[in-house]
Amino acid sequence: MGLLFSRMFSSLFGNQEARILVLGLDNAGKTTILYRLQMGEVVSTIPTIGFNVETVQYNNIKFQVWDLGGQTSIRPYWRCYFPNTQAVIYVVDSSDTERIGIAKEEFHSILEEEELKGAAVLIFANKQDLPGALDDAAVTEALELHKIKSRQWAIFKACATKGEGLFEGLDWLSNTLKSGGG
Amino acid sequence: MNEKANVSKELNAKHRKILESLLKLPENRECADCKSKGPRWASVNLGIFICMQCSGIHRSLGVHISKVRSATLDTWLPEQIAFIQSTGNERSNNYWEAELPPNYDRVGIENFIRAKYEEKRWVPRDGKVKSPSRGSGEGTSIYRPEPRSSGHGRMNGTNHGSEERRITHPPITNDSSPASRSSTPAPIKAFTPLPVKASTPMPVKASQPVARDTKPQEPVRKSEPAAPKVELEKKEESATKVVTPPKVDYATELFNLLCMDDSRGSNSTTPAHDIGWTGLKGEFLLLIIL
Repeated sequence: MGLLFSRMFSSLFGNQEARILVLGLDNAGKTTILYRLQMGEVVSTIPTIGFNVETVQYNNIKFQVWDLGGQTSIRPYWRCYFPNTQAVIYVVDSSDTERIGIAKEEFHSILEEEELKGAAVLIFANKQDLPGALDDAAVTEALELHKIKSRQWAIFKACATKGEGLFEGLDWLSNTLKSGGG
Repeated sequence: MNEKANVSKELNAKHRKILESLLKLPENRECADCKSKGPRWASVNLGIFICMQCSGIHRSLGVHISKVRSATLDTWLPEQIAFIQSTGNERSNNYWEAELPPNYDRVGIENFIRAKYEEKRWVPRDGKVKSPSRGSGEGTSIYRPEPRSSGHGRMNGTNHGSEERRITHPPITNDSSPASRSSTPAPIKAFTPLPVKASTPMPVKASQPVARDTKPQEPVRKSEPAAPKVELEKKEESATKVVTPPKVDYATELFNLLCMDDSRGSNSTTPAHDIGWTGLKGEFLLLIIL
């Protein structure tokens, strides 16, 4: 009853909800992005063992954003969170060129997951302020994004500590979700 | 290029054992930077063991200065293992803290770490001692490598993370969610009711070490012993995994039900409430997973 009412209420005001996963290698900047989006501030973080979840209201969409830890041995647990996910935000440390190959492999194994088949993918080429950071074109190439088939995706340069690029990405995501993608 | 592909299960187990034994050495029993006991994290290019709090600061420096890995949760490359074996906290600090005044007060650990590795404030002036740090994973010469100009870039004076210094620690002193604080795996940025912003912005500089270090440290320690558990469990332990997803959804759904009723005519305070709910659910879920 309550759910019905709230759904009616939501549709009346154009509110939509979306479940989003933030994934990426350890130290890509996932948690910093989450809290930058949610609070508009840079928080000091420690490695996420487990996850953080926050609600971010943006463009009439209520994003429920799950930020999952990225250490090697906890990446297999990402799959526990896949069901009912409308979009994945994949975060790359653009200055960590040494591990960009691993980032690519993790990325493509996510895309192969049946449960994420319909999910839109937003990639943040994060840490653009650091020396040696690859730009969006270079990250696109390194992640082999051109191989993505039948899925909505976009990549944005970002610097989470300065707040650059994040809401541009979220704009794209909200437009994509509203138009039925993801 | 690929850590996973190159490191077999057997090799990984071997690395674990080596790391465990290294962590038992007296020099590695305390964090290379803040001296707190029982570090479980490391900087693989600096060859040091550090605590979780300091690992967070090292991560914010960027991988051109420090590459952080967990000694228990990450897969290490053979050359990274060899390097940390040949370095360790004592040797590293002989270099990085060569000119550090005795009994230097490490209040403001972030500033200390930045001064130490970013500004290289206390490295030997006479140039006799070689830097024990090395570029990164690409090198093969392990023992006593020269400081490499490429990987370890001389960053004199450049402060790439200047924005990061304006840091707040919103959730730490939040009284409205004591439950989540005690059980949260990553307490610093735990599930934050919004009002905290106004009540306690704790600038890093001013907050050391009592206010900032002790509080989060407790739950952090709690979470660290959990780390080996994760790793001990076989990744293929799908039984728990299979069970879990419905719980996530159930929790989420329940949470939606609960807070949607609340949020009619809501204002900015309700999201905080939501977060608390989801957060708590999440922690239970995490416990189940672990």
